[in-house]
Amino acid sequence: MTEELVIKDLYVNVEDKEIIKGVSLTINKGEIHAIMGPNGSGKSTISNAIMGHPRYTITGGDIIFQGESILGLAADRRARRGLFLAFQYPTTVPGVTVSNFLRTALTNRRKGDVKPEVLPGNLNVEGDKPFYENKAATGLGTDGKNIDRSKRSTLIPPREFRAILREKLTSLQMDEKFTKRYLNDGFSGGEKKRLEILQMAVLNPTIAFLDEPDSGLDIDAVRIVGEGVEKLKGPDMGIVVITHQLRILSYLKPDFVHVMMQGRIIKSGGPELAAQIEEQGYGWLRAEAGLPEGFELDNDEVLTNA
Amino acid sequence: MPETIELSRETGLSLEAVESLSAGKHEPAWMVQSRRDAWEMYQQLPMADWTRGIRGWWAGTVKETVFDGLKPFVAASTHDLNALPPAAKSLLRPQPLDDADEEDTSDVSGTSSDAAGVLVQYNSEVISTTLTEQVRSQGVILCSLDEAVQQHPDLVQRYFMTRAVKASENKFTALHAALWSGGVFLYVPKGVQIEQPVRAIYYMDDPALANFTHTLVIAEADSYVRLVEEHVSPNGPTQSIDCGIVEIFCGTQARTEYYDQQEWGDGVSNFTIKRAMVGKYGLHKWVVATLGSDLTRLNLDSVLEGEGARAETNGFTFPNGQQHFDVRNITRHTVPHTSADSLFKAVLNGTSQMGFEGIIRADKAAQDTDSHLLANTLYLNESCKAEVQPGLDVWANEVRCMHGATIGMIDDEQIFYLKSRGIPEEEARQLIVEGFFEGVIARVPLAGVRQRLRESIVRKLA
Repeated sequence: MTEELVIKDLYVNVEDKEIIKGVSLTINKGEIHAIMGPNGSGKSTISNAIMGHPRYTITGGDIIFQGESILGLAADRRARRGLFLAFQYPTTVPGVTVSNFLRTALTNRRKGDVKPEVLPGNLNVEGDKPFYENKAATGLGTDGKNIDRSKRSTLIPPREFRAILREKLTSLQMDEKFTKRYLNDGFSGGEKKRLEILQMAVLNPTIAFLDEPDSGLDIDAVRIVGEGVEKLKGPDMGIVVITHQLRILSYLKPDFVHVMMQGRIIKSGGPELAAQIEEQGYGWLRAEAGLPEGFELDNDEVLTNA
Repeated sequence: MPETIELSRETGLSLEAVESLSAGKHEPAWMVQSRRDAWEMYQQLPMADWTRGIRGWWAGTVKETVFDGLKPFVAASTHDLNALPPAAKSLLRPQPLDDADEEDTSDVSGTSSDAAGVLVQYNSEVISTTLTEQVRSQGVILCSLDEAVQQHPDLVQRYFMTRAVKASENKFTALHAALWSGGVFLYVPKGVQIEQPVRAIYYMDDPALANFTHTLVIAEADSYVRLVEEHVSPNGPTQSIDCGIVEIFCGTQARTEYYDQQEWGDGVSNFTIKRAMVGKYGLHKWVVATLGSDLTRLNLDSVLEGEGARAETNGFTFPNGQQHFDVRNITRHTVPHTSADSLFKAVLNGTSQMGFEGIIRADKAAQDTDSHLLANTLYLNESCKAEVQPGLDVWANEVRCMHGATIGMIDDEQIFYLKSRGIPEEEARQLIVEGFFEGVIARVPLAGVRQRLRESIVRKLA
């Protein structure tokens, strides 16, 4: 089996501040990884950097996805290749219905990352970078002419899409009314997280990062999200759960547990590591790694929940 | 009738042009006199100061001399709908008018697309009018205003530029009253309710035409009618203008709806007043999209003149390139117990400029007025410029009048969120802009109009 996602000695800056200081991680399909660690240790930064958020600058290392470096690809192309990130704080997009959004997203996911043909007209003056990667040229098609946007009629036929959506909604025990609402507009915390899981179900990624899918949720909501993800896992999907709570891991049963502190993975192990953290907290790991006490904490620690 | 008019070879606006236009149409004496009087007013009235924009910061985009060389009348080069230019012909496609399932808009089979009537004006002449027998038999009249002057002079004399928009209002209305031609006349008798909309298509392609489009809708008591208008001309260098007027009379307990998609070509200057007079317990609804033209000055007004009257105004404005749009909305409450709800959505792209001024006016007698006005503006870049001014002018002391405005840019986080789901940036922006307009689009019950609005968003974003 080839390795699906390889993170090689990754360094990430956020606004000139170095947050990730050399992280290496390999994730295969069918595996479930948990990344744990106190607040501010860089867990969310990793997932955002892998998804290609423009505010996160990769200063060293590489991300190899399906055998190819994806550092030069924009977020949408990474997603079309099969990466997914369930956000900790999903953004509201008023006026865009969940179903319209998902239909557009699934259409693009199915198309895959079709690379526009590189024609001389598509190259910019510097010569190496295809024109279509530039902001000004995003409307250009393969022939260098403006894309006919009416091709939106090539969206997945409504009937087929509705069938897919209905199936996923049923398996996640979600109401169809959900899909008529505007994207995250007026959603409760639990609804937002469930919508992220629904998106994951519809888009069927090969590697999915779940950034604190359990934060801000009550016990029942954690169970719903946990069971939802549990249903999605399979031999064709690798899942990385970022959390500092253990409850959700009781539904997901990770194969690997990694502990992050101060921008590095300081310890990796099996599920027993999670249990150990539950009993003893992070203090012993910090001591083991020789890190100063409480270095990374900006706020009061929330480990008491764990 | 029209074929005897020889004005198309003349240029320039003059009293002679007015008189020969009127003579060519064999108009009755009262209309001849009305045109002459209007021309007199045009000569005397000063150029309105709003030609520099609502706030006076536009460059002098409108000059009096712009009228030199314009032709006040251009005959339609054909009266055969099949011989129309392709751009005009494509407008004649039937529109799905049923409330189709939103997700099924690609599948229009099974939805009805019959309009109750269709009127087509090409340049200065109405070339085709159809009205279903079923509607005609109920006494509904749909014809050109030219024809109405001959056939229904009593109605025209009573309503045409008498109460809603008077010739004396400003220089442009006076010019309009002197030189109008063609036009839509829609009369719905008492108690007649037409579910199927009536369509009116204005198409022009003469590069030097001074077009004076006029729509007159009279909905008698307890009637119901919806009019869907389109104003279209090809892009390209032109000095043509459209100086249009829409007058709508919504009678006692009547319901009127007016939809307009203004897509004049990018060289047209457009000065338009649309005004509805709403009677007792009448309900009037505006959905007006301002998309085309180089320069637009739109007045979109409602006068609530009967107790219990209500007006719902939806403005949809999307300038791009170097377009200048000015939109002014006055909702005037003149009697007690009237209500209004106005929602204006504008997106600016390119280096376009937009001014919006919205006023809720409650006269002293208008106690218990309930009126809302909201204007949302979205910038797509930092080179466009908008000035948005909602305001209240309240003279009654028992009212609920509220106004508000928001202005902002697309949030990068929204773009990233959509991109992280595989949606390319351009498509993501399109979704967000569509979502922004959704508040207005969702208020349009006609699937065909919704589709046209969405298509235009896509075009304007390209």
